[in-house]
Amino acid sequence: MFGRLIEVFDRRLGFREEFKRNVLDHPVPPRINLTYCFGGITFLLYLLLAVTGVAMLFFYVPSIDHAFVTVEYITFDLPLGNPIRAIHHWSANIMITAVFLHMLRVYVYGAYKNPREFNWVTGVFLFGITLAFGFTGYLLPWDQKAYWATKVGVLMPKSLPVAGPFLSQLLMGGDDLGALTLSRFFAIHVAVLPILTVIFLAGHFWMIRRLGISKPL
Amino acid sequence: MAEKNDKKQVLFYPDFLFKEAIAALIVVIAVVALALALPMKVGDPADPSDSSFKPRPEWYFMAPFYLLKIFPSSLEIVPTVVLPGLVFIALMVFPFLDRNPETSPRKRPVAMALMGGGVVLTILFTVLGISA
Amino acid sequence: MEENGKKVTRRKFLEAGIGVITGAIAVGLGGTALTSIGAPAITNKREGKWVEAGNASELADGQFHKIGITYDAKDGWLEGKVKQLVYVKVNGEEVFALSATCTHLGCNVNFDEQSGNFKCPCHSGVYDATGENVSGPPTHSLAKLEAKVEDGKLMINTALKEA
Repeated sequence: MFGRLIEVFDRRLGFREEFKRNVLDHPVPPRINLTYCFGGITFLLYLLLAVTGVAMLFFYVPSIDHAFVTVEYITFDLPLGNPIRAIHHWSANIMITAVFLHMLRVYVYGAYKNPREFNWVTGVFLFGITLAFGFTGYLLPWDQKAYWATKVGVLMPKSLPVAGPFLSQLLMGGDDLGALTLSRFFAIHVAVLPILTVIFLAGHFWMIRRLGISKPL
Repeated sequence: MAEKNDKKQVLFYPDFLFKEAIAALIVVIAVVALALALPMKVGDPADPSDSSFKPRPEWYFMAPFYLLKIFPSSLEIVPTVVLPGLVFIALMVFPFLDRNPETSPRKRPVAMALMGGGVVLTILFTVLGISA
Repeated sequence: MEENGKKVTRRKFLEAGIGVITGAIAVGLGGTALTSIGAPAITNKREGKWVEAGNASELADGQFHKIGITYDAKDGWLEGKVKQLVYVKVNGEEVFALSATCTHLGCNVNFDEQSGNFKCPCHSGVYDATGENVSGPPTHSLAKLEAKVEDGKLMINTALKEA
């Protein structure tokens, strides 16, 4: 059934051939080892985070009156809610490690060198986006830990001369960490950063395809 | 020679993707095992009028957190803005500065020393931050 | 030839491995997420409870009164006030209560004094004074609610008794 449906569209669009030629059939260097998997693992963790994140979006409410209650509901009442939140949490933590190891591997193998400089640059952006995900996501449960750690974080730019205080106010959406901070962190976490990730990831992947995986040592 | 190459040719699919799939399976099992072994809890609701709570960032923000502690407050700008900014700029421009085409780490002592130093310091500050 | 055959089996094995692993991850993860998203359809039930709805003596005129009741209930993560509209007729100790929710598509019906019927503003469903559906699209009568007078107070059970 599904195969027939694919057939119908493939006859018109020819995507199977394109996909085979552009994605699947590319030669990779021989003797490629397991350290080459960290990038793929990072991508896998991003997918785990996206699916569990969307599931929690059905229940979480980004309001200072309800955020904590809805997180409690997900954690204790919702069937499979606790594993979903826990998978989100652990994937996020392991992702930071996977990104770090991926960068180390690329560095040690000199894979950032000409002509792959911009693979590295998009990767650095993705690294920054990952940290921003972690920072904004940490506030969302609106518990003591979230509130006070974020408070320190948003006030850190204040030490920058001239623009610093304004930057802090911009992060908080006002003079204090409150309702508007939570909504903007939420919007950044679930809308802005995922879109940025997709854009930079598309560039990252496209360049890998065009320039190939760098040869192992 | 050409024949030898043909035999040795490794394709992204299925050769490399199979390795990726095995790695993916291991990671998913690890994540699910962690999630089931250490279920999530909730803390206390945020209370802006509380003065007893000691904020601690996630472990991956521990390094700047630790530096913030050891720098004198007159130099606060160094760990909060200058260092993180410099690290990002350095990472960003590094491939354009390092024009040495050599890829073997044995023949790139300076690059390896830079990396080793960076990694050791990051891990050191993170561990010090966590244990502080 | 044999080499070729070996190569084909190896390829088949790798392809099957990739298929099984990605399939298992996708089904496991997707299934978990969908279970959780779907679960409230079954678990999020409104439980009936007795709610005070005013002084019985003020209502005891044998006429239908439109009463909006507000009470504490659990609705998913919310533990707070929910609202419900009922029509109540009190005759001495005898109380008759109907849910205002049209059994067609859920609008609240209005009591029409002239005809003595309940009329739904949405699709012109009509119910008589006992809650029986008499014309229009509804195929079921209005739900009844348990109600009683206790210490002079009108008490209504919010659980709907489907006819």
